[in-house]
Amino acid sequence: MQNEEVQELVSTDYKYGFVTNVEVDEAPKGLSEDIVRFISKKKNEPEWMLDSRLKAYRHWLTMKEPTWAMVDYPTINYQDIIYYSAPKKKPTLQSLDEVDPEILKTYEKLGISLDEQKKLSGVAVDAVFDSVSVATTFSEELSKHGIIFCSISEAIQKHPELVQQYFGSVVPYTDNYFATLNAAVFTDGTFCYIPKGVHCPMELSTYFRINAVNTGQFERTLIIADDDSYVSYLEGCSAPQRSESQLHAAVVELVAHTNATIKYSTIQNWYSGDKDGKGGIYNFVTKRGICKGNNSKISWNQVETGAAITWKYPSCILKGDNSIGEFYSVAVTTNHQQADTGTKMIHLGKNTRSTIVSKGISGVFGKNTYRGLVRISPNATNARNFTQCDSLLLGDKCSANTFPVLEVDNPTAITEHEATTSKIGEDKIFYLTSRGITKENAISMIVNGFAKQVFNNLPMEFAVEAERLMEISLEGSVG
Amino acid sequence: MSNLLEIKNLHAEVEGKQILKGLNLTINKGEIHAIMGPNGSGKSTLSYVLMGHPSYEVTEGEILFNGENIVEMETDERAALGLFLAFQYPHQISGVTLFNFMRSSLNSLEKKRTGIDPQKDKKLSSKSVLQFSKKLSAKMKELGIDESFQKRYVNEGFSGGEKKRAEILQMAMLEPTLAILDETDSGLDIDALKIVSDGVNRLASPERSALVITHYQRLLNYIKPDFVHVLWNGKIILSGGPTLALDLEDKGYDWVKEEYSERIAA
Amino acid sequence: MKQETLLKENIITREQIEERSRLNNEPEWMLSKRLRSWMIYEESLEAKKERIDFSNINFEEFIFSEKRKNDSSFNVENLFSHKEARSGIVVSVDGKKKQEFLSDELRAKGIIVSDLHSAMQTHPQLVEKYFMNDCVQINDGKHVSLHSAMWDSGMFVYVPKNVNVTLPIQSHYILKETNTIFFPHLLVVVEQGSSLTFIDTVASNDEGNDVVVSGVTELFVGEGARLNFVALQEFGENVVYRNFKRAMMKKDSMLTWIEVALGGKISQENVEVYLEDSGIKAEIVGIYFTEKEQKMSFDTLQKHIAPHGYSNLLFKGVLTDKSQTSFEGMIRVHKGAQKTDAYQKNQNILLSLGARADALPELEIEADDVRCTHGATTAPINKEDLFYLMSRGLTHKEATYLLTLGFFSEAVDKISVEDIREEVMKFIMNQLEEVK
Repeated sequence: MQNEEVQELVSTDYKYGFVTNVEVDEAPKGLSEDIVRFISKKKNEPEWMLDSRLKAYRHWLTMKEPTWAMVDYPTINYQDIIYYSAPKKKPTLQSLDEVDPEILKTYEKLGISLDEQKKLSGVAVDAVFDSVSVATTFSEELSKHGIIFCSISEAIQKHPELVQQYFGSVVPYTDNYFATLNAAVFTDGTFCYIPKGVHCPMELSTYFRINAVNTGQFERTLIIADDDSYVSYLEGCSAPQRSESQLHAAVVELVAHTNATIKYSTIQNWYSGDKDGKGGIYNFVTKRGICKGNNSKISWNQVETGAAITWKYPSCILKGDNSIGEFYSVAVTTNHQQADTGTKMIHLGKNTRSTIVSKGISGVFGKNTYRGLVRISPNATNARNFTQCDSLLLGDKCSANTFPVLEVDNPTAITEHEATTSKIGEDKIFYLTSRGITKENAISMIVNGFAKQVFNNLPMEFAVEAERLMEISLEGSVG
Repeated sequence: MSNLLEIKNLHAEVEGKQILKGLNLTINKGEIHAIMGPNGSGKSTLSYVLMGHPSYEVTEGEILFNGENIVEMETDERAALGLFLAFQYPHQISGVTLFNFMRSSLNSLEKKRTGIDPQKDKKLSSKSVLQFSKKLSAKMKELGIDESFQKRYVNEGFSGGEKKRAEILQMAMLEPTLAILDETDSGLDIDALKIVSDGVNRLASPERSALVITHYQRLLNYIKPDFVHVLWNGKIILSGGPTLALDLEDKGYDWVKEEYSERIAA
Repeated sequence: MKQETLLKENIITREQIEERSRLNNEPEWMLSKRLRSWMIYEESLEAKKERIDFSNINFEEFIFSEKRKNDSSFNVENLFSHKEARSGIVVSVDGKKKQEFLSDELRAKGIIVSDLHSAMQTHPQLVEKYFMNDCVQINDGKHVSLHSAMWDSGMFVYVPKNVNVTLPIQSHYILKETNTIFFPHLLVVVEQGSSLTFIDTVASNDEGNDVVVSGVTELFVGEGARLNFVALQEFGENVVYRNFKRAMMKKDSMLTWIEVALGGKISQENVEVYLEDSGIKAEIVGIYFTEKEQKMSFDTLQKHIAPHGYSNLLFKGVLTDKSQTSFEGMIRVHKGAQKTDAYQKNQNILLSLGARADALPELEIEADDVRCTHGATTAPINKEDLFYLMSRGLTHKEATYLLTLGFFSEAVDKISVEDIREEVMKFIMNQLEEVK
């Protein structure tokens, strides 16, 4: 296989890179206490929320941007970012009909027509456009089950007691540079509460899109599954093509109580920059869940094909006895993309179990790093962890790194870590092409096979989309 | 005739799931019993419970071996009494040679039975090494196992048939009074099956008994049982002579299911 | 540990280094190397925070503390009664050469086995060529810089081109003095087409005050050469040990490196292999057994610079009591090191509540046509294996003992020298007897 061919295959253009022309309501560029107050005021927030933001902002001023990740990017000028940008039309909508048609078209282009979703697939969608949540479907239907599914801004207004109880309880405002920044300037996001004993009847979904120029997106998601409940949540992301890089610093907190299960799936397809590495989203995300009660379970599933820089470690704190943490990830880095991603599994309770399956695919100049921590604390009797991280290399200028840490402090625990790095198998390509399959399809098939274990763990609709996305990232004309 | 093993109203569970639900079985000295049954009926559980696997818990009932209740005993103490289990899936033990393994076993059994550690007595030790080595070689020859296997790690890289033969070799070395064979026939071709059966038959004596657990009748052409039992839903629902096995082969388990549905459900 | 206040004059000075060099009658280049190292040491920042914490041990303080003689009962005579013959033996006590033996045949073939100070006089060009130039460098970390400024004793082993040394050569480095610091340096050079088995044993008794050892080991394996290197560490409970070890390998050479760490209070070793040219094969095996409050850490590096290299690293450890270990292993494949085949495995068994094992198996891959795998496991003795053995009559303790020996044998079997293999196995067996 010629390297040039592979490179061509893996360096096709971004297909979600359109811009939507919508009138926007923006904050001036830059960050200050006034801007924090401005955002809070725009959202008509109660005093406690503003205080929480200001506390975070003041703390952020004392912090330094972390440098330990294996990613290189030019210094971010935090004063050159617009921290609030909203479509002019008010986000308080009675029905989907009131959503700006331009936005609706956007979602259609993305393949997630809200209308269609509503009719056909039975997936409840919350859509976040730049800084605000524009529409939530199925809220009514869900409320029959006592499920709260709305934007976080709405939750702050309508369910302050829940927000106050859980907000920042998993990712405290002091956690890390980007999480602290988020706590100060987060604009919107999704809130979800599943009451005791409720098995959420449909997949819940949020689609995030950055549209306006120079905006940063700082969404905040909080999902609480009360005792004996179940929820599967899907998250999708995209952004238009722009020559400047844009910052995305989200925080996601999950809380699973006794016997509850949260499945969190992400398809991240932010704009990754052009072939020369110009533009693209800087994706610095803090995602963490706590298995608070016994027998609870949190499952992170992610397909990361976009963003210029990804810095993200969805983690599980396994506090309840017999609780389970999972992390299934596919990360594709082509062109000049860089991903430093992985997970942390903190075993505190007895008989806690965790599984990590990470698949990294690097092509062209892509740089893919797995970074993980498995910590078995002294009380985590009979804890088990299995980790597998594999890397596939598609070019001779890309790189793959694996940095796992295993800390075992209990003699009854069993931890296993396996990792391999290898080139895409020439023999396999040969075998497939000898059966008449084009090289392009052969590569796509092999890569899909490599990632299958993770795809299998995604909800149906997402699995199809994930495979299509992978094909798009790898597709192209063979010269 | 004195009985060797008496199982009374045995209930046992694994990971909180009840598998054996009131099993009764008596085996006298010198007898060969076969236990048959469909998959999931509790056959392997019975063998593990008899040998004292730590994951299996006896919740009710007794297992009397020579009149002594062994339910609370450690696995190795049961081995010292003369119980032996030929595993359905023998474990690979990396780094431990078959020679060293068998020698450690015999030493440990002797220490338990006589109170004398043969390894502590230099004279005794060197003499016993020689004897042991001779015996091991002879038994391996009988079972058609290449002598090079002595130096190989236990079951590591052994084929399915080799593993089963190695199990029978261990049985031949330890000379148990009750040998439990858990699906020893599975995955064996006819030649291997004959060798394995010969090994079991060679051990037969008026003092020794065997409990043969199998899914198929085939093995019982080579090891002739005195009694055949059908295990279903954690209980023995049917017992008979050697012909019962042939009936089962003939009519299949569905026949038992129709005929004895009440006993199964009970 | 004694925490005496550091007196103002207890600071290394230029004069002291010059004095040390002068007393040894060292050539000018060595003095200047020492001084450069000292400057680097002085300028270097605090060593990075390590998983096994050395921060409460002040290495400099030991340089100025008053040595204590220890009437250690270590019997040096025993060291000559090897089951397998040696073609050379060197015994040093407290860094001073006590006995030396090299077969006349090897001497005639130009093999050098000498203490480093003498070698500097007798073979100045060779020592200057190899001593801390291409292999370990004076700026390889703070501890290495201090070592190269202050090194006090050492060994030089040199096998010229196309000489096969069939029987092993062994060095015994014995410590009796306490309350002090030693800086031993080992330099082994196997030239093109030659072969050598070298055993480096370091040992001391358990008695007395703390003693610190900060060593550097440099191994050169020339084109097509073969080196079999066995390092056996059996220090007493009072020893704080560091050693920075690196092997430089040339085209088509082969290395088998066995690292056995059994003693010491705190130890940290760097085990690095540089595959500088094509066709190299390196096998690295680590064996460790810790007890009480022992702390051990290993930082390993398999550095693939050239294509068609093979390296396979296996570190196995058993931890008892409240002991702690850390394994940080890296496979680094540089651009252009195509067709690299690299493996790395770390396995730990924790036998006691309170023991802790950390594993950081890392990969950094910049070439695409490679096959790299690593794995790490930490687990108790497998329950099913225990049941299997106990069903054959072994007690729980006997079964654990046998399974633990079995766990090590994969690694121990790679030691080619029979009596060393037995010595290691015996040590492990004795330790295991003590485990509850």
